[in-house]
Amino acid sequence: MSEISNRENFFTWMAIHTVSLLTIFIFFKIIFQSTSNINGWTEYQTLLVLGIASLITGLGSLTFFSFMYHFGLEIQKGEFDMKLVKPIDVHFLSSFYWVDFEDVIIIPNSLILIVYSLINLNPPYLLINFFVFILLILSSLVILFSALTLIQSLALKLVRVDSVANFFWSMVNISRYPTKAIRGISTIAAVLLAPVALISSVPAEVLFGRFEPVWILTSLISAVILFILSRRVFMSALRHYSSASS
Amino acid sequence: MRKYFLFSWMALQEMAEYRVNFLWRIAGTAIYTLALYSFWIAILGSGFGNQYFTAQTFALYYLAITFVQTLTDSEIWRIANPIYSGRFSTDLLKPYSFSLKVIAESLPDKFVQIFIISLVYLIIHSLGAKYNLNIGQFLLVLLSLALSWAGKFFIGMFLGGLAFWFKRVQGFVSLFWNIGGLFSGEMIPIVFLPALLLNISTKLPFRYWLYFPAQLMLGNVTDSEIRIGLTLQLIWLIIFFFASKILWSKAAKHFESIGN
Repeated sequence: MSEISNRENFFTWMAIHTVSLLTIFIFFKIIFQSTSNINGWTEYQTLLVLGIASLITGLGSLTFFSFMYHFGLEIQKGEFDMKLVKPIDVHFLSSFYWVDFEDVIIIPNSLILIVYSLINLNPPYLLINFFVFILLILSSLVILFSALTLIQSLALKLVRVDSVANFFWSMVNISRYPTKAIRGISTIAAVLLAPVALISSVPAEVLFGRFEPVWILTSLISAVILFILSRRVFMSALRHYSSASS
Repeated sequence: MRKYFLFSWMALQEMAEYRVNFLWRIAGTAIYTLALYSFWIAILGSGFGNQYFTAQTFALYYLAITFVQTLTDSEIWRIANPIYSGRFSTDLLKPYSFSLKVIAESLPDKFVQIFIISLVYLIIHSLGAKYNLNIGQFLLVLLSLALSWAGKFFIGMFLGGLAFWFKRVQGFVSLFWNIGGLFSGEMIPIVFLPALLLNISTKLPFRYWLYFPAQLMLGNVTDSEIRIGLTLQLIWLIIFFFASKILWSKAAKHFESIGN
């Protein structure tokens, strides 16, 4: 709530997030004025991906995204040591330490965009699709959380990894585009972009009624495996941690 | 001048010390650029924009945009962070210019990133994307890049200087560059903008700081466009020079009152 006490900053961030979403919305509108689809992805399917990616960003900001900002700084300043002596799981305490409330506007903005896209798509069996969609959103959040945990585990050894935020935001920002529309590229690019497709494109497909079991199962299984793996890596790195500062 | 060289040297040492951190930043930028480029290839494949770009010419365009963006990055955090942390008090007392210190510290980062972009260009060149520049064009490109860098430096001084009044300036910076993303040619080539947005882009500085230098590098501008572009770069540079000067003169008084 201290974020809201700095009113000019809070309202500025509300404007930023709205303008940011509007900018990409305009970008897609310009593209689809001259073409009906991009490798099978229509205008409203693409806008649905944008809305879902924004929703995931908003939910992440209210939960674990602060992990990428505070964790490295705490290690550099020596403040992380105090967390180790507390009777709470240190992974949980580090990940959910701060709620980025100034990003709260992202969620209603994204829901508006999702509803707008769905009205124009008018998919059948929306209620059934919705339940699978919720499951995939949770899966996407777990994948992102696990990826962030793996990256932040490096901070326990290397101390300064603040640029990891730049890398992580790049992945989150890419998810605003329908990465499954990208075809005929190199193998390296396909391997890099496939995980991003799991985050937003697959939930979007489910919501407008395109069920691809391979992608759905990959998302769910990946979430479980990545979570277990990232937790193990983080706790293992923690065992080898020695304080970086007094 | 030796002290500014030392600032650059210290910044280079810090980059080398935390080289994994630096690599993460490069990786993030590289992956994002690759993804956007791949998405644009899919867009071009749908028939949109074929009259202006092919896959190869779009690769060159994107590389030029990235090159200009990297070279002219405004270093706002090097200006705002010392103010937030209080280290700026020390900078005021020492016998050097804070602005020149910021410039000196940013140089190693820029040189390394330009080296990486040059390597990428060589790869694209080997894949068939050709690019030629004569000496006259080269000098004009240098002039345009210098004006673009200076203009963005002073906007960085202006936005970073807001840190004297606001606890966090990320909001203002992000708002400024989010709007800029649409009008600078970074998100979408300016030629694709509808008439209204195209008209708005001519009234704002963004296209002259990014799109114009990139198109100049690619040889895609006429002589009259070069004259207009360079003139407007100079005008915007002067505007933000005076804006930052006024803001910092007021900030110095504000900073003193906090010290007392």
